[in-house]
Amino acid sequence: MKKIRKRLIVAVTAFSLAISMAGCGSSSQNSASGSSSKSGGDKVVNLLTWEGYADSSFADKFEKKTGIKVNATYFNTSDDLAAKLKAGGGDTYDVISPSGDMAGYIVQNDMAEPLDLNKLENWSDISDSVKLSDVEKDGKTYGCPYLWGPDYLIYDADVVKEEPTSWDIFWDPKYSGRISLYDDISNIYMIGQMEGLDKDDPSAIYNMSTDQLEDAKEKLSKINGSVRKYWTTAGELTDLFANKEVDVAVGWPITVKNVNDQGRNLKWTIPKEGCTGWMDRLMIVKGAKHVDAAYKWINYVTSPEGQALSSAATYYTVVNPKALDYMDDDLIATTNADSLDEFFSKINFWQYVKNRDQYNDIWVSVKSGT
Amino acid sequence: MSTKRKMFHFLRYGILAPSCIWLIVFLVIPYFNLFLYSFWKNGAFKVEKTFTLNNYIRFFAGDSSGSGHVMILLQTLRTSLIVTVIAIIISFPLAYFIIYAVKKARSKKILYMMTIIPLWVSYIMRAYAWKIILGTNGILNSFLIWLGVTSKPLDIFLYSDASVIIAMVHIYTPYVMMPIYTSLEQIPHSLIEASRDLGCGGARTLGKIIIPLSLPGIVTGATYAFALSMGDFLAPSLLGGTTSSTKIANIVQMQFGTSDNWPYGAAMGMIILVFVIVLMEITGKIEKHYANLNG
Repeated sequence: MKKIRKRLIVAVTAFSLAISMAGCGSSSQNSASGSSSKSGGDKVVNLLTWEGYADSSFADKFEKKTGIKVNATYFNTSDDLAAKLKAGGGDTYDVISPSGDMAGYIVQNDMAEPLDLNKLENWSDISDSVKLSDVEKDGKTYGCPYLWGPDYLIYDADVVKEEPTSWDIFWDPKYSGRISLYDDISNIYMIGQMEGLDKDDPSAIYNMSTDQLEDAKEKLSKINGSVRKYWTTAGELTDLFANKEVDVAVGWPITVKNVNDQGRNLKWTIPKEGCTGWMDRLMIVKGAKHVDAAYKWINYVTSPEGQALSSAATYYTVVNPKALDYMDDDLIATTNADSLDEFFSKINFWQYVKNRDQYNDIWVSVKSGT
Repeated sequence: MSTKRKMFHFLRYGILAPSCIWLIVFLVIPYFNLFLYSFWKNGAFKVEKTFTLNNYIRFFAGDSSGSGHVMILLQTLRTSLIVTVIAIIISFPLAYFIIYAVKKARSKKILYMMTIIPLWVSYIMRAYAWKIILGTNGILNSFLIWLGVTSKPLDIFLYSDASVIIAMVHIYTPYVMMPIYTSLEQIPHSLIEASRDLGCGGARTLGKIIIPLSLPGIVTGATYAFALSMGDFLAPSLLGGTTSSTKIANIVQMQFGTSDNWPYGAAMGMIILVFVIVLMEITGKIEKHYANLNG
């Protein structure tokens, strides 16, 4: 009897484990079977992108045109992308949109597939100045430029009457409790720019020494108390401005657009120290299950029309100058799409940070006040 | 062996099986996994399975880049205790009122339901509601300006420790109210009458009879509020400001997200688990002690 009892318990446990594992396994099997169709028969494409990069204003058109369903997962920061990619990989995602601070790393660590430039229909139309070399390895290109933009200074022109000329406005007691910063290590780059570290070598702010980082920590800690809220998504910053919680912030064009759409008067500027910015490349994840659909998506969003629609949804700047034909004047002016190369030169684009852990730890200590 | 006994055994273990499986799959395996992770090393984009105690050392002593997270754990502890105390202060009189002051059974039921209903509303909705109430242009500020208490909207309400505590008290009070209500309900009326007959006034009856007898309920409720607010990362991240938005659970969440250091996150998880279990053991002992005194 005892034996039977034991066996029963073992059997039940094993059975339940088997069920739970089968449950986990089946989802990946489904997507695998979907990919086995070779001749462009993919029915889905799984994106892991920044918010807004699969906006229904252009994703719906793609779905209608190709019959491919777009599944999008969003990430908040570059580290978040790395974490999600690590957890899912090619089984879960097909296309990613890393910014410059992660793109090079992903390429160097073999986490993306090399792109077949012959399959990229718009490659020759894309402005050469945005084809950065950090996504090239052994003569192969791993990333296709998509959209880019600045981390510039946004201010409520109804409150801040004069255009700020320096990032030091954040240290101005007048705006204490009325500022917002991005919840990300990029604030450390800002300190580097204020110190003029990137005057000669743009990459210096991504390779700061321990002393320089300590200095940055001290400076950022001083304004920790003045910060109303660290924002994590563009939508959150938009809410902060819309509800008049903050007057000055580091932010992206999408916030200016969305808040001004509500009849407000936000303005942006690039302070004299310069600003950082991001260049987002589209990459195909190593071992992606829907490669054909991935190419179709990349071709769609880098086409003149796809670029214009993407820009209209996000207010980020295009990489394909032909898109200007599809954009209205307001959109062109806001995104500086007509002076693409000149605007591009004012921005220190994010690069991969080798001491990412250290930057992260400094950032956590700043915001947790320890 | 008789078939009856076989039947009995089958039923006995058959009934136990689902809960055993549940515990193994959703409690034992995950925690064991977490335990293992906490002794591994974090590599670039992957976890290296080499044994190290550094994750634990880092938490208490810090390392080259930071000063550890003990202070944040203590700050979180402080916030959780404040939340717990306020929740009890609100819940006890409320439960007392419903049980002793409200006479009609139907009114009792309605009042009790009203305190429970907030639990049916999604957590996020309740947190966002506080944003609307406490914000610079929020209901509270508009009201204060209308009253003439202040001429300019105050920004101290939202994105501060206060807003985090207010939201958590609101969210966790029903969890405290329910067990207190149950324990008050179980106090025999004859005891209270006897206390009155022997010349005790309302306050003495409350202090000598009602509070000691409802102590198990209070402790249970306090445990819920405390454990839940210790692990809450949503309220701080939605309603907290800068420092107040970083509670221990936020740091843990960060390890599995932006900081991408699963082993360290796992180690923190284990530390918090032990910390909370020890605290509960202590309150459990205290409760038993009092229960014995009463008996």
